[in-house]
Amino acid sequence: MTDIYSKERLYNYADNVKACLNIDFLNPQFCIRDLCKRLGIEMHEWYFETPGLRGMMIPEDGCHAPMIMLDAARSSSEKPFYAMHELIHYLKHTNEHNGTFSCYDKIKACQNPFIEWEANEGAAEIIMPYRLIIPEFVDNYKYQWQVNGDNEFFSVSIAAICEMANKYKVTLSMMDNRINNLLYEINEYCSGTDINNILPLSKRSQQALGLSIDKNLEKIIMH
Amino acid sequence: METNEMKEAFSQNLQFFMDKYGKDRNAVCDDLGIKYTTFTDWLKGNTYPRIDKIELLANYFNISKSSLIEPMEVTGETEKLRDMYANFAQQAQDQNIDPNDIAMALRIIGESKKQK
Repeated sequence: MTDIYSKERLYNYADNVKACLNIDFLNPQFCIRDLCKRLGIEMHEWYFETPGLRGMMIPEDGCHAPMIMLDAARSSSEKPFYAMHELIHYLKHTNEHNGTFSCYDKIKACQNPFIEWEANEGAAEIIMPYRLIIPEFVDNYKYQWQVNGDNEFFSVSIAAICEMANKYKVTLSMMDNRINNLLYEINEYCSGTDINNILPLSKRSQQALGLSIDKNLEKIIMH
Repeated sequence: METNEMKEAFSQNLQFFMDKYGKDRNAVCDDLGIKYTTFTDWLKGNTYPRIDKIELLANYFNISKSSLIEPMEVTGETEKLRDMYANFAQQAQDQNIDPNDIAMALRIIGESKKQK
């Protein structure tokens, strides 16, 4: 049975991975292909014919090296994230999950959503660390908290998300998702909490703790 | 190995690496200055290239010459591999992977094993 981490523990795990792989915390730009090579993982690409399939992780079995296989049709902004997603599967999940990981754009019934969440969130934290993203975002770009009855909105300009996406070499939707998944932490930072004292909480944990921030918070894009 | 078997193995391997790197005939011919009709004959298994051309292609795909020449699964460990392949193929099938992608993954695994 896989031990599913909390968001805080997963981010600590991501920090450990970065430290082990000598990824600079302040400059998390790296070549995923080199990282895999150093770990003895082969990376292969071809044009997948399976709809929505973006990557696969095939663990070693004594006969061949571990392999990450990526859809060659994906953009250069997508591939590093998808490869890192598979790398998290390799580093964290191969001991408990005996077999191949196949990862799609949308989670399928045959996949474990918790494991996929860990791989996505872990990859996001390595490539877009919250302790860099949040201060950079809040201190440099226009945003607005708005309350309308029971609903609370976080407005942000599309240009800001675009610039951040370019800087971290990810797609617009990846950065958009990242910001969405960090709304609680952004709110904490905006309220004056030091970035190093913020306790990262998943949406599930926020709900479990009854934190109001999650109740009706939505992100809206300002054009 | 018979001449026909060599031609067939070469053509299959060539097609495999073209698929893997997303190259069509025109692209390879343009990149390497090979005549299109000559290349098509290699790909169809009609003729077999000279060793200098095999080397050229191997360098182009960044692989060993033997990867282009030797048939897949010629190592005598086919039975052992078959179990491994069957496991992977079953898992991939359960995960809704297209049969063409399964076949490509299996060929890459076989190639990796051969190099190991």
